[in-house]
Amino acid sequence: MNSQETDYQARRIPLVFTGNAKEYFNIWIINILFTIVTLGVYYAWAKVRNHRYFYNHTYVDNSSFDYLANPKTLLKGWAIAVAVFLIYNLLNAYLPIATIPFAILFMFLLPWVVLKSLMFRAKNTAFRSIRFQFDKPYGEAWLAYVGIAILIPFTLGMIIPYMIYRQKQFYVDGHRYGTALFRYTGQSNRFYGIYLKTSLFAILIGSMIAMLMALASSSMFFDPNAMTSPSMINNAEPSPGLPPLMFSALFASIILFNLFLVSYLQAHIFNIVMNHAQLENMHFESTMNPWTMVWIYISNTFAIVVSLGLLVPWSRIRLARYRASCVTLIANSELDEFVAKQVKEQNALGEELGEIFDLDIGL
Amino acid sequence: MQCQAHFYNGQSSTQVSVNLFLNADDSLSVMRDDQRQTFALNEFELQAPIGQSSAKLFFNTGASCEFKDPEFFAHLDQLKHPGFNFTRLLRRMEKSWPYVVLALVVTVISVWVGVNYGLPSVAKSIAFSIPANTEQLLSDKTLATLDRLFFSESNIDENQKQKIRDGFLQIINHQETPDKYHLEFRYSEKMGANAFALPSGTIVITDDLIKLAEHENEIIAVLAHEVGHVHNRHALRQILQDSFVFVLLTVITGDVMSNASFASALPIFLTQAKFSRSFEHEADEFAKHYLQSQGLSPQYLADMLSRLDKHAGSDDKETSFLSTHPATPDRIKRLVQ
Repeated sequence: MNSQETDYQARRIPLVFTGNAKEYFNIWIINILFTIVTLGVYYAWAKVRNHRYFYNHTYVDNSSFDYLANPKTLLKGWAIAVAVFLIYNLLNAYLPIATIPFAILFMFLLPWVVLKSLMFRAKNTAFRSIRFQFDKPYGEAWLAYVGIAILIPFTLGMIIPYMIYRQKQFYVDGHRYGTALFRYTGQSNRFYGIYLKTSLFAILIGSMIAMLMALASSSMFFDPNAMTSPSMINNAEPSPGLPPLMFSALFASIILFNLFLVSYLQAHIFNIVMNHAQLENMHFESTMNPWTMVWIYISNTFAIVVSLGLLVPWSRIRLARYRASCVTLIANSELDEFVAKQVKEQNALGEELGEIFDLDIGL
Repeated sequence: MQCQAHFYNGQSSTQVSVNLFLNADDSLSVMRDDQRQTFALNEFELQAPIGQSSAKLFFNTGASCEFKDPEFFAHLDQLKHPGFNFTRLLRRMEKSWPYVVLALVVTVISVWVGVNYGLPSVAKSIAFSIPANTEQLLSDKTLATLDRLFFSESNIDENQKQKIRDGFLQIINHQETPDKYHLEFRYSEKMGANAFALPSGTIVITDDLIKLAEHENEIIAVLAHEVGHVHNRHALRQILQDSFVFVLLTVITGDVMSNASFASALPIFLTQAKFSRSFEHEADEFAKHYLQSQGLSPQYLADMLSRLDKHAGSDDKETSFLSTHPATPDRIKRLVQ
């Protein structure tokens, strides 16, 4: 180690989220009001305001993040997305065969949209007046999001953890803060460990649900008309179907099961990625507890359903607060030494599409 | 007027404590020790705080500044945006509970009206603008599946079948696209007396229903009801409505409920969905019109409905809990009106 680093006492800087549910509820509901009144046009502004609330209340070393996206850019992207959706649907209705080249085209379009949306998000995120940036060649995006995915059936899914690893590496390595580069130092074996563990839990819990269902429904089977949804003239007929209670139970357990898988996996991956990311001589530490995450997801969903959506703001704040509380920045130098990079203006087309599709390509 | 602030020069992440001064000529000075940099009003953007966050200044040099002092912000905001300012209105609304309650009420009413009236009418106009063969995709393989699972061959004698077919031909000859419709006879122990329409236009009637009917016109009435479902494209409309509700749900709940979990439960959700009340009424209305145009009484459908109802018995109170099927007495009342 050189003298410069030993001179500096490594500092642990926690990530702090200071938003509160009451305040955010008001912002959220007023956003919805204007979105309704403008028949959806305000959605872009609402989205920016929403993002800004979370960015502006997330602090590192007493400075908060900024979200600088222009709502008009988002609106443009929205229009493009609607047009693409319409064209696809029209093709599907009038010329179904044309959807095949569309699907092939999509395989090349998807990585491009991922790349562009990462660029958009990074470019519009700033900390202490210095913007982030994302920069990666299209080829790497294609490989991480499509190329490896093509191999999934041939490897019986065994390549999935490797694919996720490559996607996270792509994500971290592509970012920079000013002129400083982020670097991902992890290996793929950790991802295999996590997927193995999650699969075992999934099999265990999945078979438990299946057994309970089988026990409870041993004398019943699926409603034939429910499977085809034809219109029965005689619905009063005691149909030999799943009674509503059983159906609701099945529905609920599928949702619970999915929430478990998603949150458990996400928490583990979040930890791995954070703990192996470096920014110059700084690194991160994440201590997210996967079971706490599972609990937050499940109880949030329950709260949202029971409150008919009114607790959406509360659950978002709760999630953001827990996420932030898990992360610490370990700085071996002052945060003052990052230098802005001259951002060259680039073709903005497509960047806003990712924001529209809300691609969850972050951590 | 002055306040404390953090200054970033836009070149590096160095944070500098400064004082902001609002000068008499409405220009803004950033003071650090003895250094002073002055900006005219049009040389910076002012970003209002959101919630408890800081207000921010973005200078045209790329530098920026953040400060908390609400009074200083309010003063600067008035200078920068005299007259009406949307963000100011927004912030006032977000802080006042009457506006929040108003927003809540408007939202609840809009969602309710939208789901009950808006979505159905949008779904209707979309369904009718989609080419007729679309529904073929929805039910191409359905009958084969049903045959394998629930049906066996019909035992009705050929004479009676021919009579019913003739009646059916009459109905469909009144339609724009008679080729679309097919009639199938089946026996099903599990379904008992029943009839249904697949979205493609295939209409299935069971032996038990034919036997239950006390008059041929009652069967015609049932068939007309089913043709009404197909004619009004109820299946497609139902699917469209369900997808709109799904999209709405995703937009409102956003990232908290993962899309993936919902998507996987969706097929069951969709298949369970029965025809909504209004679709049944529409089909009843269609049958009523047809019967009347043939000089027949709608009473035939009413009689058949009440007989089906009795036949089914009342041992199954449970299904009416989730079912959107309207109660038979109500349907009969509408028919004979």
